Amino acid sequence: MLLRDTPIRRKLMTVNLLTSSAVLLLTCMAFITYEIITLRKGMMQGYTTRAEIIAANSSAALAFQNEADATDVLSALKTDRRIIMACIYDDKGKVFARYPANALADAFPALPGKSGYRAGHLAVFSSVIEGERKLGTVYLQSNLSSLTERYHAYGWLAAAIIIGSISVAYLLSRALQKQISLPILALAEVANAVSKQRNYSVRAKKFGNDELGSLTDSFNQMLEQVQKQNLVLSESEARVRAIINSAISAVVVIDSAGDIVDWNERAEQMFGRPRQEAIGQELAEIIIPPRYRDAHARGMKHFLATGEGPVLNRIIELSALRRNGDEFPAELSISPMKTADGMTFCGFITDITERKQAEEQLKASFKEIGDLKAALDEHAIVAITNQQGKITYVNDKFCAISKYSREELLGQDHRLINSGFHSKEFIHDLWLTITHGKVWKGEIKNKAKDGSFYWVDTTIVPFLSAAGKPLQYVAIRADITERKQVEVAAARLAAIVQYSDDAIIGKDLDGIVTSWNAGAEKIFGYPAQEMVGQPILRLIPPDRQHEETNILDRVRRGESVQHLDTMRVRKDGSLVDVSITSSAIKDATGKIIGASKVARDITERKRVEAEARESEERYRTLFNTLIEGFCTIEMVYDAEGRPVDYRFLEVNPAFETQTGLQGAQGKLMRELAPGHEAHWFEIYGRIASTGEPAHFENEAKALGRYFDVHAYRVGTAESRRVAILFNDITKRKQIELEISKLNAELEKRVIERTTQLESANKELEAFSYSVSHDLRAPLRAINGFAGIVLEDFSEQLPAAGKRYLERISQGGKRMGELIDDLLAFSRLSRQSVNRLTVDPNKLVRGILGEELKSLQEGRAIEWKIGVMPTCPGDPALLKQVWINLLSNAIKYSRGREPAIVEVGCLCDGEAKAYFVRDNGAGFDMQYANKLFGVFQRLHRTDEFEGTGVGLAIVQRIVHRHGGRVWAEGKVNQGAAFYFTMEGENKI
Amino acid sequence: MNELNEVEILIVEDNQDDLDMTLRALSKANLANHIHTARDGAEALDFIFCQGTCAGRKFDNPPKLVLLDLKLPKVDGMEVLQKMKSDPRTKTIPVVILTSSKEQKDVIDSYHLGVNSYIVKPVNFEGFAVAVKELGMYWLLLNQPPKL
Repeated sequence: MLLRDTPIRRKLMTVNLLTSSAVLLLTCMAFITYEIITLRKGMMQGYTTRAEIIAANSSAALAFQNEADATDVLSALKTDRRIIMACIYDDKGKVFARYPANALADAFPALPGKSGYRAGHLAVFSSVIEGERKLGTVYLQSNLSSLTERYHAYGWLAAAIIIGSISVAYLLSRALQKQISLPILALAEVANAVSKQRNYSVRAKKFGNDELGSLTDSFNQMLEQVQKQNLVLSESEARVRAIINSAISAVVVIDSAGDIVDWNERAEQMFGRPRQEAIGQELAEIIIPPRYRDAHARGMKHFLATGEGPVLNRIIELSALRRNGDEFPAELSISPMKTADGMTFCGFITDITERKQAEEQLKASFKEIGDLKAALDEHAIVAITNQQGKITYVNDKFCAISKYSREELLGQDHRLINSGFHSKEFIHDLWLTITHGKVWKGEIKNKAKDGSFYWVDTTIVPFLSAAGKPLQYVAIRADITERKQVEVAAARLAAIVQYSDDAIIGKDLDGIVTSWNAGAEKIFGYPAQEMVGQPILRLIPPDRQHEETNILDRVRRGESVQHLDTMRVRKDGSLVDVSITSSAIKDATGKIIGASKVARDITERKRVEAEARESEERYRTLFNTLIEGFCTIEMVYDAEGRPVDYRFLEVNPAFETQTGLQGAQGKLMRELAPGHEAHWFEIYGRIASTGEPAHFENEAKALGRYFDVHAYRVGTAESRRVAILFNDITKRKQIELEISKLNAELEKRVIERTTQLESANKELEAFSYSVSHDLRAPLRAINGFAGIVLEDFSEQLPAAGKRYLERISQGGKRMGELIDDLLAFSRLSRQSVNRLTVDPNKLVRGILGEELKSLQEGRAIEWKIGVMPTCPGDPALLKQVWINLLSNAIKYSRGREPAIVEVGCLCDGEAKAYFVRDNGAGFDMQYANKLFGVFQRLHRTDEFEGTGVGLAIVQRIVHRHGGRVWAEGKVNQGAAFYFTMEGENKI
Repeated sequence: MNELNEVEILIVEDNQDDLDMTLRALSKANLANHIHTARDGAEALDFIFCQGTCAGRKFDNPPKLVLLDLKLPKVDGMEVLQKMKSDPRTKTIPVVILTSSKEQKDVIDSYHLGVNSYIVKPVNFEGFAVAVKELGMYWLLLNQPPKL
């Protein structure tokens, strides 16, 4: 076994032992060599010395040739058994003496010899010197037994030392090598376990912190990571495996050679091959039908060469092969995967047999449904409506019956064809039924596009979603219009018979009554049970009995009797005027089996006829004598139902003069006046459709006239007739236009005048200012100088002169007063009016207590002051009003004992009239209008002083407040002045 | 020129009649000693502001009273009043408007400009004489002007 293959433990020990043995051996050898060299030298030296001693001792013997002596000397060598032989040579080199004595001379080497070790012995030569003369030579030959002994001793010693040392070294190394070998062995063991068992969970034990310790750590860490990765890897693999196995598709993985490398459970089932069997097989061989194998091989090759392929990453449909040789349709998708070994392909294969079958079935069902639908469309009126009630489908029959095109219907709801016949409840019930997912059946009356009605027997089937909610409604209808019409007619007939006021009587050909309605009972007084089975002759007056015979004869011949006005007898015996119509009753075969007789009580009719004649006459008279135009028209509509014209059905004589149109009756308006405005047609169209009458004025330019029109519908909307009563108001309109033109002019003129007036006002202001200033200056001069003359020169003046001067003064004074009042009056028109709330009670009290206090001095006045409501107005101006009125009352009641002055307010709701009444001089009412004029007086100044401006001021102030002022009075019986503040909101 | 410095009343009046009656009333009340008359607004301003024909007059001898008519030739009374009352030298001189105008506007404007009294000339003779006499008495005798 080579050292490198030995276990580390033995390796360590071997190395140790070899090393220590080698060292020991070398040491021993060195030592022994040294000892041997030293020994031989020592031996040599010892024997040399002995030889020299012998030489010395034998020199005499030699010199004297005494052999005995010499032999004696040599015999001393006996003590040393190691000396084999010895001799002494004489100077001639002849052995002189010998030892042992019996030794052969030949045994001794010839001279000269040299000392040294010879084979198996030691030869020593030593010269015997006497003086300068060599006497001979001593020779000693010793065996090497001492040396050999020593050699053996050394050998044993060395062996013992070596053996002992190695033993110790072995034990030591055996003990110490564990420090190194143990961790390594442990690591090796772990590594072994890992590699053999792939168990990454084991960990190496750590023995210390040396290099081996860190090596262990690293190893353990490595193991841990490997374990983790392993775990992840195995999990992911397990997952992938699980996915692959649970995949609905068969998963087949092939390598680039086309051999199967993986094959999941589904593939096992699908192709009928277990995994073990499939793996390693060539894919083409086991699942591709033979006829496709070439294509498959080409595809693989192409892909491997170019990296492109038509089937990669796409889903293709193909045929696949089962183990038992069956082919089945499959869906395949292949994705290439690059792996370490090259390219693999993963194929997902789905068995689509069932799907294909289902598709086929579906196609078949669709076809069947299509056929059924075609059959249904052929037979019935079909419409489909969505949840919102919008039509999503109609078949041809639907279009045909409704007369709408498909485009007009789609997207609309059924209101389009709603006839309005059914009640809201009916429609509501229908919707309630179908929206609850139930089938609704019933008969519906609809309206076609042209306005005609049709009846359909309808079944509406809601198509439900999976959740049971209706998705759409399919309505299947059958046209039952005819049946309905028959039904309606029959019902109507029955109703007519039942409720008719006419007597409707059935009788057989023998004149026996077979049916008797309520009308008959009413007219003739017999209840049905009294007449059915009785002869009809009971009703006929004796003198007319022949009529019945005639009637029956005619009926038998198949003829009918129409409106025979005659008389019949009631149950009570009275006669009744009747109109009789009789016709044959036939059975199903057409055989006449009886007669129907309709008898109408025409007493009323006769009366009504008379009345109608009268009414008609009245109408005609009115129609013909009416000054207003009158006509009835019939509207004409275009295709869209818009009114575009009308026809005159009837026009009265005044029509021509009112419109200027001649011979209008029967003609269309557009014929008569092509330019007639569209709004006329619109208005009459509206009246005709809505029935709402209208009264309006409008212009007909085509006729060059304006009309005032009353129009109303005649009959129902269907009649399309409108009656029109109208007046030509062209003249009035012209006048109105004139008036409005004049008004506009007037407006303009007013503005002009206002401007003029404003400037005049300004001039007036300037004028009154200058009057106030300039007019008074000369007046002052007149007064002043008249006064000065009177004051300074009165003594020189005659009495008359003085009087005249006084008259001048008085005149001047009065003129001053006039000017002042006039100024005050004119100022009023310039002064602005402030509107505040004024309390007249307070105002009057204040005035009487202050301003007019002096006026009342020496007067007995009885004041009757009522409580007055407040009013809005300018306090200063209103005060002036009250001052003027009150002072007038005081002034003009002078001389009355007592003077009575009443102050108050007449209230009538919102209207208030304040008044001041006195029992004074009064006035004549015929001059009442003059009272309020400026400078207008009804009394002379010498009766009652004053300027005649006070009331003018009152009037102006009241007018400026928007109020009114008036007076009542009688001469000597007092006067009353009223004013209102009516225009309280104006100014 | 000294006379001008002794003037106690300045009468500004264009109407000779009124002026005569005023002077008469004042002289009857013995107040007509130191009177200066101006016949229009310009003359009045000359006197008051010691200019033009009255250039020799001094501001430190102001009249005790100015009787001012409103309607005057050249410069009207309102302007004279305004100039007087806006100049510190003449502001303290008592001014009485004596006019025919009863217009509220004139009264209010005058008081705004600082007039001391506003009197409407009475039309009747007695009233006029009494009014002039009383205002002359009041301003010349009773009123205490500020010392300059």
